[in-house]
Amino acid sequence: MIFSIYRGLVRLLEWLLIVAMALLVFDVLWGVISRTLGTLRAWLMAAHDIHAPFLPSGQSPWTEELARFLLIWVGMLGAAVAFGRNGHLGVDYFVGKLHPAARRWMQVITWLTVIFFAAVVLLDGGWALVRRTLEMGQETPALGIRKGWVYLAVPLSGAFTILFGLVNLVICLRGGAPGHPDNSVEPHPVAEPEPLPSPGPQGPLEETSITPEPDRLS
Amino acid sequence: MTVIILILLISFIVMLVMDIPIAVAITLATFFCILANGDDAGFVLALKMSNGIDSFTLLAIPFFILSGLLMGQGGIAARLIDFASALVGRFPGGLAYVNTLTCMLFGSISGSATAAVSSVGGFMIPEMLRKGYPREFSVALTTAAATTGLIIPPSNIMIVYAVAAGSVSIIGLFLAGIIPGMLVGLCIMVSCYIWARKNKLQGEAKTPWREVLRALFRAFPSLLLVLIVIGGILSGLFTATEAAVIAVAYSFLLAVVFYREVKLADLPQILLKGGLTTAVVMLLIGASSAMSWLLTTENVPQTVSAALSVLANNPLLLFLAINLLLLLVGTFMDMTPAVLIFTPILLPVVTVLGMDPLHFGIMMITNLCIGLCTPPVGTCLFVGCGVGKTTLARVTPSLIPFFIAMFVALMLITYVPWFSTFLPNLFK
Repeated sequence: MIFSIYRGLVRLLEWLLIVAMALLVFDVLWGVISRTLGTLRAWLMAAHDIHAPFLPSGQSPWTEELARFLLIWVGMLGAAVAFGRNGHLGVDYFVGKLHPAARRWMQVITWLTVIFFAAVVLLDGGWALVRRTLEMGQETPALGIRKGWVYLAVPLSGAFTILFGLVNLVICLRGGAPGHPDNSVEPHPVAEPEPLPSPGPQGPLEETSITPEPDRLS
Repeated sequence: MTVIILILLISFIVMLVMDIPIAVAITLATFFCILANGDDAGFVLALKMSNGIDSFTLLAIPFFILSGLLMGQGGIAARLIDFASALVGRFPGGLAYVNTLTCMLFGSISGSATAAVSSVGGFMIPEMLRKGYPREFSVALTTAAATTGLIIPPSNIMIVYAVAAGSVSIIGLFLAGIIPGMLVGLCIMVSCYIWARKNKLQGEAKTPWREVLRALFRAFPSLLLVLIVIGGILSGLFTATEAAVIAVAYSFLLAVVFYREVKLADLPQILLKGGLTTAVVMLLIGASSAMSWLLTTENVPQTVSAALSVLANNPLLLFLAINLLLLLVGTFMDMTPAVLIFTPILLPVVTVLGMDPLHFGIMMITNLCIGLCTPPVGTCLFVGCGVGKTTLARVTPSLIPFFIAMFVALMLITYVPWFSTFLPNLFK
């Protein structure tokens, strides 16, 4: 029961990400198209004296603003989902050299640190940011929404990161590999095992970690 | 001030070694410093992080990621291979050149070195094995050649650098990368040439000109993407972000409508993957923009400059020292965090000495490309070993000639600024 609620929550977040990404594409695309059509309208007017009131008069002013806000939401909510999948970049070389038991405790410390970060910076700091910005009553120029609501992504991301961090912490304590059990993203590239004397029985921590291709930029 | 820097440095390194996600390590190290200064650290960090992400320029990153995911399909690699074989296949050791050239083209289009290794390598490595090339050589070559795609534009890492550096023009960086990227490819090909001479290899059959034209015609729609992006920004028709979104629309048409390699049902997964990758990068960017704000308020770049003033009289030595430092960093750390962490520290130092920020960026990216295929941690190398069904230990000796080739290219790029600055100056 709890597990299926948790899974539903992850699915919901993932679909939010998908919709936000699609919106981002359409939004910026519309920015370019509306500007081009605006130029066309001005040109028709000037060169041929043709009125084209059905064409936009220029780039819609809200496109850029909306895109920037969507990016904050994609970045923040996506970061939480990526924490759940253990998909953030780290330097795993030194910990990989450790004895499996020691490595497991290192992972427990890692997840405790992630939870601390999410609680103090994202949730607490982010909530303070939302509150103070709302108090100032600052409104965004084109869309006219209150800037505080844009920042709401930060504490939300913090709350989800804490949740996913706790789940991964429990998985680590039970000796499993962090990351969602129902993961469908392709595994993070990991070097094939070297033909070295194997350090004892292969624990579950030896499993390939699963990430959303963090190396897309590289 | 020094105490703050010590807190930052020590806590950051400790967390890094412990495999705590780099973005978290950066943020928490900054957090402790702000706390030591007696400020409301959580609030300041949340503000700096969200403002670091709140930029229209950064939007180019998710779009280039999406277009890379759409274009990174096998069919496009196959067309590019046909084109490359028609051009360079007939020389002795032809397949090695074909592999290098395809990696350069594919890497440029998809913007991802790992995608280049898996897509191009997936076709080329079995083909090279069939023609009798050793497995380790084929894997090593693909791994090394794939990194050139990050130097040849359009490239996401350049946008990351431009943002980290502050006021660097993205199109300037794109133009700056063209010649150095080809130079790295050329050095890798020279390495192949020496190898082919030593092993007395045969080339493939010569392709008649009509076939070359046909292959070009078939590969052209994919190559057009690069032309649209660069041409569109250069002509001032659109910004880098808009060019990137047009690249998404174009790749969508090509991959989904025209070639039908991506099904509509795959799109949610692609968007999700793109969104997650974007988020990983954005969290890093937010974290490092908070850290570089702290570094600036603590005058760290000036301190580093002062510490390096011994070397300042000898820029040649300083550049070498910076390169060695980055090579070391690159063996352990991925490219994006390395660029984000070291740009705000090193760029002010080298600009004082008169180095062009474009030149420094290309040097840094070329340098970190080498790190992508060096053990113990090399993302490209891991993918290459997976695709080529071999192990790190076996491939590493075969990689040495390519390391030398890439290092020679890096030295040329470092000490001959012309390679990086010629094209940007031409279009200024």
